Amino acid sequence: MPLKETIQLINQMKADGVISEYAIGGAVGATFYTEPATTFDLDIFLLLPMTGSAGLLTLAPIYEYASKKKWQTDAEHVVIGDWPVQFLPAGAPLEKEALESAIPADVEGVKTRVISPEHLVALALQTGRPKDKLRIAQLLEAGAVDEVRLNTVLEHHRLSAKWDNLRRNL
Amino acid sequence: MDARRKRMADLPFAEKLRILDKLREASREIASAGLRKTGVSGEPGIGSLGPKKPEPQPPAKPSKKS
Repeated sequence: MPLKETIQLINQMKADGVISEYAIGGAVGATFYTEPATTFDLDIFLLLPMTGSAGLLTLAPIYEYASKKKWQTDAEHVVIGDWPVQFLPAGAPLEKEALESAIPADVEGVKTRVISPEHLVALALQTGRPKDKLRIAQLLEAGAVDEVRLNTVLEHHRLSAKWDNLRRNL
Repeated sequence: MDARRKRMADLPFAEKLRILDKLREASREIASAGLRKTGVSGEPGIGSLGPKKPEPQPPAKPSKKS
């Protein structure tokens, strides 16, 4: 089942009230702006509805829904269609802002949203693994990043020093 | 960025997603053929290619002649 149909099923989860607003991040999100690069999963940033008297954020409704649909789970992934999907609750201010400022995208009539290139860079910078640094380099090379907007995001989330350090080594 | 990569970056998102599908499928085929050494996140682990090669040993010291 192609990625497009996985996105359709995630939209169905939203229509069914299991998840609220979401946006594609990670390598698939970056592919919106750059040339495609091999990836093995789909990162979905999302807001979760509060559950329980303590107002806890929990992925349990997603796993219950997956179980009803007979979707398999594999570690932190839910396999939707053929693609392992990682649901990443937007808890930190940077993630929330990334979700709020996500860009609408259309996959042959299937509506979705993709995290902005500036927020993809900030999130990758925060995570800081080698593959994240590579993604930053790809986004910069593709000319996808608006430096003014990026600096605003980085300053707002106190990532400027980390950014300066990375730029010296890129 | 060279012209070929620029062309790829300029493709519609739907077309890029189809390429991701194909890249992933190719990677899975490589994994199932046992050609990739280690599992990747989101993919079933396939372990190592076989027994580890022995580390190269330093040449033996010549024995002292008595």
